[in-house]
Amino acid sequence: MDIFTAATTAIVTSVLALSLKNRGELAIMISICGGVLILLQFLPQISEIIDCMKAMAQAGGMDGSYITIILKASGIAVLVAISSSICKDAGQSALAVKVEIAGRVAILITAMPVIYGLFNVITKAMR
Amino acid sequence: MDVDLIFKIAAIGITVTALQQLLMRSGRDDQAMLTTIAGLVVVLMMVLNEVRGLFDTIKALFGL
Repeated sequence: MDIFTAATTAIVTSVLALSLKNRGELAIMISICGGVLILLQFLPQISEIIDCMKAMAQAGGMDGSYITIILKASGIAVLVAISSSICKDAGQSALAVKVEIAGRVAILITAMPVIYGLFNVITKAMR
Repeated sequence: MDVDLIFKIAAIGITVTALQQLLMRSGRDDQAMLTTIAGLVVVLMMVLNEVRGLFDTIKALFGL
């Protein structure tokens, strides 16, 4: 699927969801489905980008574990963005905020080793 | 798993709405409600299947 198919899918999905506006629950399910289909077609291409960035970072000499952490944080951000936007579309912005808070906590936990390493470097430099 | 799924869900939605209106006009309100709920559950299962596939792909891709 190229970008044209993705754009057309998005337009067709929005029009169909609009036509089912009096059945709000089906409209949101159609929009979820359309969004999932577009993402599923583009995720393999993202995997190539990720491989390129991994190779570049390793050639640049960065520690492998830091790349994993950055990747996990990006994945959590993507997931939380998808989920919170669906919640907002369904009119539940409070749920969207809670999902975003959960995502921040998850990213913080994932990045704990980096923060710890920075803390160690700073304390070592201060002694 | 392509664009046909969206049309399938739209078709199910329109069918369920039409059936619900039909049953309500002929006075069988409880059957109308049952049809609505059944259609909703069917569509929910289909959508959740796709969402599960998406989340599995994201998990494998980002190493979560």
